Amino acid sequence: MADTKQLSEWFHKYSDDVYHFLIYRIGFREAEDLMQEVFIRAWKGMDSYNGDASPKTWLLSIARNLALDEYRSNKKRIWQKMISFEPKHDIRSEETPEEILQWNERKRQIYHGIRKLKGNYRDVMILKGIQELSVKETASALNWSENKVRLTYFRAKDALKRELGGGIYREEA
Amino acid sequence: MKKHDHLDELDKELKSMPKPPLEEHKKYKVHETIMSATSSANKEERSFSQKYIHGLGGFAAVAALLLFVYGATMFLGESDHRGDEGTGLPIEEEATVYEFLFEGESEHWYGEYYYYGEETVWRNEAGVPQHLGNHSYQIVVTYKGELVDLESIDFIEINWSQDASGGSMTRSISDGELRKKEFASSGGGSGGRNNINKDQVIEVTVKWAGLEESFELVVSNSDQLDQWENRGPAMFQLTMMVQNYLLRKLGPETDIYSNTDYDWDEELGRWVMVVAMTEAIHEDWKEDILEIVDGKVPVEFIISRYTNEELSKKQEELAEQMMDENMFESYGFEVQDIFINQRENKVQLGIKPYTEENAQIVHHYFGEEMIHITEAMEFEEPVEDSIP
Repeated sequence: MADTKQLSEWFHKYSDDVYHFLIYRIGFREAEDLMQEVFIRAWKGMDSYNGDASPKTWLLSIARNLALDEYRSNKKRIWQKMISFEPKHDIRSEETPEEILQWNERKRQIYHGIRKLKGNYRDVMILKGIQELSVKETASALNWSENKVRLTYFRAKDALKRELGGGIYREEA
Repeated sequence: MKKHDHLDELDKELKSMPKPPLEEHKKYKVHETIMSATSSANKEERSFSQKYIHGLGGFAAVAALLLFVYGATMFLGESDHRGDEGTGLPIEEEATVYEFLFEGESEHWYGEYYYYGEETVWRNEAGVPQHLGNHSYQIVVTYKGELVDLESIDFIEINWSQDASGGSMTRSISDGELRKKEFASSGGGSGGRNNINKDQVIEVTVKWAGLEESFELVVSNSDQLDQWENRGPAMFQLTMMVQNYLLRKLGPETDIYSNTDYDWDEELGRWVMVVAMTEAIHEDWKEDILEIVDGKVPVEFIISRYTNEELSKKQEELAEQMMDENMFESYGFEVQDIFINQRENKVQLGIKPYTEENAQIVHHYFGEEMIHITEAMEFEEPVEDSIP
């Protein structure tokens, strides 16, 4: 039987990390919805958790897998959503969580920039860039090689820079 | 060198990005739910609903049910555990409906926000009640003056907030393009409870021509709701209502799969609701469904070859392969959408740019079976409009 007490401890220790990952990965509201799922899934898999990874990276890897499921259901959702767009041109709308309205302009740009990156880029950017996991920890959470983490992180930053429209990198003579 | 210096700057910016904690009361609630779910569940005894959820492809309970509600899909096989009571079943027979109209105005603008949501309470695999709802909204902000007043402006930005969420629309206007003084947006979502009540206030801010006005929308009397119900954009609520109807007719232990969704009909030039089942649908039920739909959209009843479980699995497999790297980058195209096309009864891949040759390349990689390739939909990702 999985250990409920252990789970509770992990929750107190790591729920903020999981939450931070999810808000950048899938958005604020969805993050709240998925929080409990992450820990329930962890509880179910606790017997098979072998301690190779730290509990934190293990929980983050569960969060990431759930985010992928969420992404897939979102594909469907976006399609559903567009049906309700009338007219389906000119005006584009985007949900803006209230939380980020308090951030400064630059941080909001970065948040939106990250949300526009493809999944892999977003994962590595959040874990390594924002949450400051080491290459090794990031590799463990994503189940990638360390090389792949470095390479993808590099590409992700490049992509983000392009999203931000050259605000960071200006070619100088 | 310069380039790397600047990227290091980006590293610093990333590290300093906000890491807001989940509010304490929400955290407490999540913790409580987890503890209640994990202490009451007996892992050895798999409930009907757990089997059902695994049957859907191993998604987590909530994710699967979200898909279920959203795609309005029902696959209720593997019903060998008939002894269970109360799991995988709605606790309440009828969905609870949340319907509100909010109104308000400022000197130059008048706004309306229509919200429609349904919510069903289910027991999850641990026997814990879960509220699963979805909703759609429409917001229409209308200029009170004459259209001609707006002709000289470049853009209009409208923001609104409703409880913890909100949205914005911006419109860039080039010469002579503006034909209406009404600005509309709509959307929807699914998840837990419907986060709305009559006491809520929706704040709207409109920025135009260097001016800015803010006003509040408050709940309006309900006799105007009828006219909103008949406006087009609530279409996707209909799929949910039809599926709820079928769920009640078929019961949780049926092995008949059904799915309700929209497909685009090229000939009609409009969306058609497709009700797909693995068996021919009862004539009486057809009539009831047509009554629910009430002529708002054409309905087509089809017998499907693949179940949603099979299609979802295929969709998942394809998504997984596409997620890793953009595998078609070197061919100069990309796959942008992956979703289930009910009418074709296949997984639809939207590619950009679409050519016969590109489609063949995709088929070469993934085969022909269960795959339908089309041009990618333009509005796949909602993006923020660029304000000049």
